[in-house]
Amino acid sequence: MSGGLNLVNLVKTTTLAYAIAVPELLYVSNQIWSDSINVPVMMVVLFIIYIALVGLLVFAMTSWERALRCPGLGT
Amino acid sequence: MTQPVRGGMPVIFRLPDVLRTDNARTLPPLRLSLWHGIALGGFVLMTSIAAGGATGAAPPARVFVVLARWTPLLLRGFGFNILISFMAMGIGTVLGAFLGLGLISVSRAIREGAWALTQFFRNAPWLVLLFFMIYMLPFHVQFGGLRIIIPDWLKAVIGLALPVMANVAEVVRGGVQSIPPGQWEAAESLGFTRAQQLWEIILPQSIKRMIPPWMNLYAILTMATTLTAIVGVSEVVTLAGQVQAAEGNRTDLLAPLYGYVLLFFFFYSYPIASMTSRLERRYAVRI
Repeated sequence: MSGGLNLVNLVKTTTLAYAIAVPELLYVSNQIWSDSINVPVMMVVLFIIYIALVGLLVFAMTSWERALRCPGLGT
Repeated sequence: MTQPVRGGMPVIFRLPDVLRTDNARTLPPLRLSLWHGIALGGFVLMTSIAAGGATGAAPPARVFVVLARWTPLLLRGFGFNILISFMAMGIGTVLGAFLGLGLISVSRAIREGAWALTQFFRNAPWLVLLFFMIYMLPFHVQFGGLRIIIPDWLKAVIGLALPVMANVAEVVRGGVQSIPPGQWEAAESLGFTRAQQLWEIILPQSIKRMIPPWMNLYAILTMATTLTAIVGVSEVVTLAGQVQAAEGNRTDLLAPLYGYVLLFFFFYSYPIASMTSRLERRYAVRI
């Protein structure tokens, strides 16, 4: 589970690339809301995308862990 | 390892030693140590000397002189970081304590509502939450005739307090759940009400187990306060950028300057980290 948690944190940390002008999701969203002045909409879109990304990752990690689980080994 | 495990099953393969110890799951992967600070200090020193030596005909000010000149300003900026972290931690802890109690509520509706809120704020990136608060909170609030302008840094505090709230809620839930169920059952059999069981028996025991992860969270939050530089709060990283500009954008200043700021953070979080691991060892759950 802790490996999954680290990956989730890694996905969340990718937003920091914004600070050095890497054109990632947050940066592009910023360009969009500067262009079409729709900050509230873009904020909701951003949240939905990130929650979906993390949710997908957590789902994949949990099912992978379940598939790898060896009865009697660990808890 | 040839002896059979409990139940008579033969051992198929041997686990690495680190996984065979009882507390393998709680082993901290990497702890901040004094060596990190010494390495960091050495880095600043070396880059400063290299920068000073590589200058041409008209030598600009030595890097040490530059750093010394701007230290009061940088320290003031760092103090602002600490202030932001205190306020965000305070607000986040109060809200998170309530949210954490919601997570262990007997009412299913409250439990699931608190769960959804916790998951949302725990899984959204901090920077996105920060942007959300900066852009979505009003520029000023109107109380009758009184107009109060909300400064950027206050919005940033709120933006940082929300993920802290969700993480504190998880800390509270984890602390309460780490108490053996026998405590609940014993309290129940002694005729305590649910509120009494929680407030007089479970919470006093779990508080000390919540302190180490709470301090860990505080250290993470302190690092995260530098994110407010991106949304325009003038804290230590913003000031470091301005110092760099004021010194004529010398590229040889970049490494020592930001290394110097890194040292501030090290000297602030190292005592927290070492105290956290000491408390963790002392309050370790022994079964």
